[in-house]
Amino acid sequence: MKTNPSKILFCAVVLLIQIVLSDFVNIGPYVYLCTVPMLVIYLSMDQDSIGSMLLAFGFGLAVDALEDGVLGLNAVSAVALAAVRKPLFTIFFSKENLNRAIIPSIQEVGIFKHVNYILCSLVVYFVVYIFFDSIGLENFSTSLLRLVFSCAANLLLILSLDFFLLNTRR
Amino acid sequence: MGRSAFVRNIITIVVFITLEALCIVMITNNSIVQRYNIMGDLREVQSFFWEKTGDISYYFSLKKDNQALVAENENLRRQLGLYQQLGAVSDSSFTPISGGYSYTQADIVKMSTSKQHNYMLLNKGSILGISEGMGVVSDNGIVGIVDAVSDNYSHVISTLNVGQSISARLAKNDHFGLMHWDGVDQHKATLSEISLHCEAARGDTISTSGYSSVFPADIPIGIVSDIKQVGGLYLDIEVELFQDYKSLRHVYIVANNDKSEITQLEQQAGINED
Repeated sequence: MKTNPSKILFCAVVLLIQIVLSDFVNIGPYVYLCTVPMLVIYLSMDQDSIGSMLLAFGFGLAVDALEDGVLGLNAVSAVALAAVRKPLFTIFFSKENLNRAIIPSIQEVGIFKHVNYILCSLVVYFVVYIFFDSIGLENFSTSLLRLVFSCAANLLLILSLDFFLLNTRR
Repeated sequence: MGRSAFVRNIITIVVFITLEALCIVMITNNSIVQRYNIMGDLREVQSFFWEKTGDISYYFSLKKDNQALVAENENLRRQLGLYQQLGAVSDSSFTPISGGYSYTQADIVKMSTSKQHNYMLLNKGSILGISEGMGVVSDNGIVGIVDAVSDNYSHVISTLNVGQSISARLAKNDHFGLMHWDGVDQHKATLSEISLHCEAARGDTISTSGYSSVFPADIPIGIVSDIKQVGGLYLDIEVELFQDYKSLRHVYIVANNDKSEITQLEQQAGINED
């Protein structure tokens, strides 16, 4: 993802996967498979916060528009994730990497730290998503189950896409 | 943190809030359930702030309300004095010539309660017609007697003064005597020289007698808390005062409108009140 065309291609492929997931994969009410967190997590670390939030807003809106959901739901979560992306990154990785054009992937940072970083990002994303999706409707235990299962499923999805998409291109 | 970094952080926060607000607006516009619940939560937050701001403005308006209440109270006391006077006149065959009592509200500027000779300073003086010898009362009973005045202030000898005596009586049977403070407990005073056959009992109300020209009659002062026989001739009655001097702030200066006439008559008759 060092050139703009490859970034655009990556985004297009991930969005395409999202369409497929939305239309053909239905695991149940507790699991929501979504590729937007991956798009935000895999943004280059030299991307500033404002740019990240604007891109996240765009990704979220694109996914909301492509799938038959509530417009703004993925966008609100993606913007929240983009806002905490850098502070989260500094928890797991050194601050020197913040301003480098590093993309946090398994190859760049190692599997253990990377999994933790993705998991925390997913928690942020799905806390916001589930909050707005089930506001005033579901009880805490249902929302907690949704959070746990969605985070676990999306962690596997991101690791798989990381392995197949990014590894192949490298 | 440099200035540019600070500005950049502010811009980042503004962008974040704007984007999130935009998303929430989109969510509420595209889903009835979310709109209903988010607007419900917003109304709750709004109500909370309305309630709190209401409480705050209510708190700040208390002073004004208090002043209005004090003025209204003063007016009511004046009217009550007139009604009492009219009531007394209707029972009498004499022509009404008495001017009764008038009340002026005053605030306590300075006060002592822990000495043997306590005093207080009020914020009303001779400009408003206050003069020496006027009584001072509050909603809970008598407070003292004006002892000296300047243009804008009055010096009052508190009832909590070992040298001060007030004419008081048992409300149920009109037996009267002199009430004075013994200098020990600011909540208690002694009503002395009450005749043995007065049938006083604990809990009876003590009020002003109205036999001096300082206080009007029937202002409740306290209740009987103990009775002692003195020398087989009189009773000394311990009075638990209604007045709590520590919490006193607003008082009324009582002016007897006929005082000069009464004093003149007393001088003619060779009576010295003091």
